[in-house]
Amino acid sequence: MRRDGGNSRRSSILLACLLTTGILACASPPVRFDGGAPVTEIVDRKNVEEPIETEFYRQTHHLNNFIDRQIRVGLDPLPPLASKDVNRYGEVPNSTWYENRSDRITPESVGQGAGGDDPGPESYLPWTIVRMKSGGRNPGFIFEDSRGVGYICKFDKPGEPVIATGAGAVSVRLFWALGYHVPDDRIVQFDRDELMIGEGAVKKLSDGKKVPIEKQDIDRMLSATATRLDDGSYRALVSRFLPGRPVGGYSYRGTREEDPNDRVPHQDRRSLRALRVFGAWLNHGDQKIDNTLDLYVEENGINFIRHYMVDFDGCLGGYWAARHEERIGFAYELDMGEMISGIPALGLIRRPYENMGAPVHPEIGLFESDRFDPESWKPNYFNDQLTSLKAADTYWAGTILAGIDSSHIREAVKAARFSDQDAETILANILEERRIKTVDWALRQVTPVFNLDRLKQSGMELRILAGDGLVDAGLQSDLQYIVEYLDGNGQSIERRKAPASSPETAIAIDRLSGLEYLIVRWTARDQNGRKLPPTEAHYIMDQADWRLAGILRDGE
Amino acid sequence: MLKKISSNLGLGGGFRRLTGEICFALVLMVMIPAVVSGAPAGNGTSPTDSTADAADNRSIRGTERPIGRNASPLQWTGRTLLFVPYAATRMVTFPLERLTWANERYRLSEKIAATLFGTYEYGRTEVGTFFGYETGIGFTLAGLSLRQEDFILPGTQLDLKGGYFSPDQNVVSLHYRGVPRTIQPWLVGRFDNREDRPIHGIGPGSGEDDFEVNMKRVAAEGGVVVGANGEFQAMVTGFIRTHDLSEPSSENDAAIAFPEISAVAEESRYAGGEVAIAWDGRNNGPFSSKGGYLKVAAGFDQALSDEDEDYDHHSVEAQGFLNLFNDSRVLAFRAFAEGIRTDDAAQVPWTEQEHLGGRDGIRGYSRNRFTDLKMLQLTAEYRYRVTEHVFGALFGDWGAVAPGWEEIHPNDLESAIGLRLLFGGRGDRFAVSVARGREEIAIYVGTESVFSTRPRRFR
Repeated sequence: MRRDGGNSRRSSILLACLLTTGILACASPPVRFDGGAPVTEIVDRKNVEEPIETEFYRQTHHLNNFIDRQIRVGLDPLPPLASKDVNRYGEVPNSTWYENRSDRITPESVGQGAGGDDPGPESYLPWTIVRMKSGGRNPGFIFEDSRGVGYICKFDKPGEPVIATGAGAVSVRLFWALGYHVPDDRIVQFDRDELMIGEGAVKKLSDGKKVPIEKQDIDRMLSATATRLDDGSYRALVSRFLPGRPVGGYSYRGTREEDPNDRVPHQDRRSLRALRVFGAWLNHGDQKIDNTLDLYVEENGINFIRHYMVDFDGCLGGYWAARHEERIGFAYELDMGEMISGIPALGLIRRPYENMGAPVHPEIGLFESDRFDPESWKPNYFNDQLTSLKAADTYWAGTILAGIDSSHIREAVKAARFSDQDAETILANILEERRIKTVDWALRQVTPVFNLDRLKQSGMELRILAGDGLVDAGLQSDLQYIVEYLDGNGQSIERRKAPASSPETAIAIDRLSGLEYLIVRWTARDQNGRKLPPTEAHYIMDQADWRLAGILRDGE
Repeated sequence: MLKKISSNLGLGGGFRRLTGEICFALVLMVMIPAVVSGAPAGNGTSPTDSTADAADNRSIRGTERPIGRNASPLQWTGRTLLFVPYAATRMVTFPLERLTWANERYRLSEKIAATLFGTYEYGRTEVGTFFGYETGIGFTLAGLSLRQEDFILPGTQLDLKGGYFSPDQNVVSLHYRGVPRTIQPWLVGRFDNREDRPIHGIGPGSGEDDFEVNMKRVAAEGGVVVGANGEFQAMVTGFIRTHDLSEPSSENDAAIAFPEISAVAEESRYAGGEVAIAWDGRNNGPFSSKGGYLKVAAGFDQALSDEDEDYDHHSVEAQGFLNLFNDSRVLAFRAFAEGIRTDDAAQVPWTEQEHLGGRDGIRGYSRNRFTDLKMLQLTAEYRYRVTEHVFGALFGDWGAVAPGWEEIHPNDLESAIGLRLLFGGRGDRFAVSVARGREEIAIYVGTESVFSTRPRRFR
């Protein structure tokens, strides 16, 4: 009895503590930032023990993903938390997950991608096949070029030449430009004579047995799957082996238990949530665990895990080449929402993807820009990272995407090595049209003001030379801005009543006397009257000058 | 406590794990979030500036979406209510998920098959097991199959399958297919054992009600198809079949009602042949969105015993598909008429007459509910795509049997309506149908059958 009473008392105290903590947590003070510098590099390269390789179980994943997660997360009325891998300006610092490249990419570097100026295996013939590819659904082989560098070689879908390999080569470059860790994938053309079977090269049978590879195996695979060009050579997509030991893909949610560097749940990473935006642009619907890869690497004597995205041949209509499904990019592979609405609708609902028609070019899959709506885009799977996307994440992705322009796209598209120049032009145009739509949508998710650190104190006023993000991205802006000044206690100091087409603003210095902390809040309305979530810039008095301390978008 | 309950119920670690998971989810959803929500805010800096270099930030490790600091009471309520459907779904999916995981992780099905057969392939012979699905011999719980490529002739395929549904119902089938060239030979053999099989409408025009029999059937058909891959086909078929009926051993009322009338002969032995021509202009078999199918057949059936009567049969089948929109809204029609002609209808055994009812006949009525010399069956179906890989369909079935064609009137047709869902890709689709006939509401589970064009002689 006494023990039960003690338990009950302890439970009451625990509950009270939880409730109190919850209530306190709900009241966040307006002062959010100190005077520190923004983090630009996350220290997540501490030495870790070699982790166990995780495996991807396709059927289990689909069962859990298509039913449980769609119910559990899809019906959840609560919004996701703010991203946790961001600095005080809302930017994503460099880490083992992401690297900021937007300020140093050139069209040439995008065209080269992760491989840089390496000439690739075509310059190092012959190739020695060491084993047949075992993962994935399409046949292929692993080889080493004459330097001894390892590659995996993949082909197009039978009957759909060029589409998937071309899509893979283009997309991997664009994801590299966006800041992700990706492999060096490139299109190659080779003659059958350049393939040799290495000593001890084996293939795995369906029952797990390994048998030596024979010449006929290679001939059969090439004749059945590889795209043969007019000159008799074969076309393929090769992916250079990444440095380190593969330890499996990374999960949509949570962290890898045995990796102490992995501290932020993956669904709370802005860099991963933003793949919802970038995925929409490139129609990368096949974002699932086994299209990611963790590598256990050693650098300067330190062992840690770096996180990669791999396999992009499903982008840009490449997945359509294998499945011929119009819904790709518009609905999940098994979409519970469509199930619920579709059964009683008796076919009277016309889905936006229906009657898409044929692809615009035989070397490009079903990939277009007219019906593309970045807001309603869906991947193939219910991916927690992507569904956790918040307005501030979307805005950040929009700013990164705005850093890509048509010259970058054109260089990336050249990597597809289409046989027809028209295909290059068509694909580049579609990508640019989709990019514009995506950037316009993404930047409008919050009040898109930038250059908030550009302060000018002249005479008796403090001027903030803020700019309109839409204009900066080369888009038409219809936004009208309201600006409000608040002190460190959240009390309003001044509010600009008349909406202005520019976010640039100024306040009299005497209104700020005695203040150590200043919050400036911009709120925009578009021409339809829609009010965009606010953007707040927090300024701190530093040696008699105001300095930007942090930025909060959408009330993060 | 939980351990004791699960032990008493004969449940193992899976049950405890599921219960634990649900409890954990409840705690996460309702209580813990209040603590977690404090993490990203109110600590003087933005999240990463405080977390990026922090050595100990384990509190945010987690896989569930916690409740944010701005959550409204409505959202809290919604989150709490969500627990109910989630837990209910999880009760169903968790065991399936664990089983699937174990199967994938440890390759269980492959190992079971390997234990039974040693290996899957012996040269061009393939051995396999199948569980709980349609494999061309009806729905079975478990079965074995053996496939031999290039059997006797290059390009041929021999399939031997055995299926077990229950001690009362099992089947063995042999299927031999030649090369699908201009002329394709084929052979099908099948043995069915079915106890307590319901029989309705005995004899031409009979008003007798249900009773049950034990039935053993051996049937073999063989023939050639001319133009197997073409739009136009001609088929010549020969067959032999035997039926042995006996009273069920069970002591139910239906068994006692086994009648002593000639239509239910204890055994029947028939051999015969059929010639048919067909035009197949469909674009995707039973799941077509356009085109049509027409087949006309006629044949004779020779009794091999003096008690039975010879007869001849004739049939017409027509299917039409009308694409309403984007190959995903389709109107499908089917009409099938078949009749037998004989000098003495009373001496044609029940097993040889025309039957109507069941999943590939008129749905919403028990199998072979109606029996007579002539049979007409009509089906209309409106199919629509629900989402990728899932189609819905509204259907109506109409049909009648009668001693003569002139006695089948539109006003006398039995009817049924229903709804079904078809799951799958372009090939075989798994269907769940609910049909409401005049006498019952029936549920059918299995692959598509109404619009298939497989031979209907295996009754």
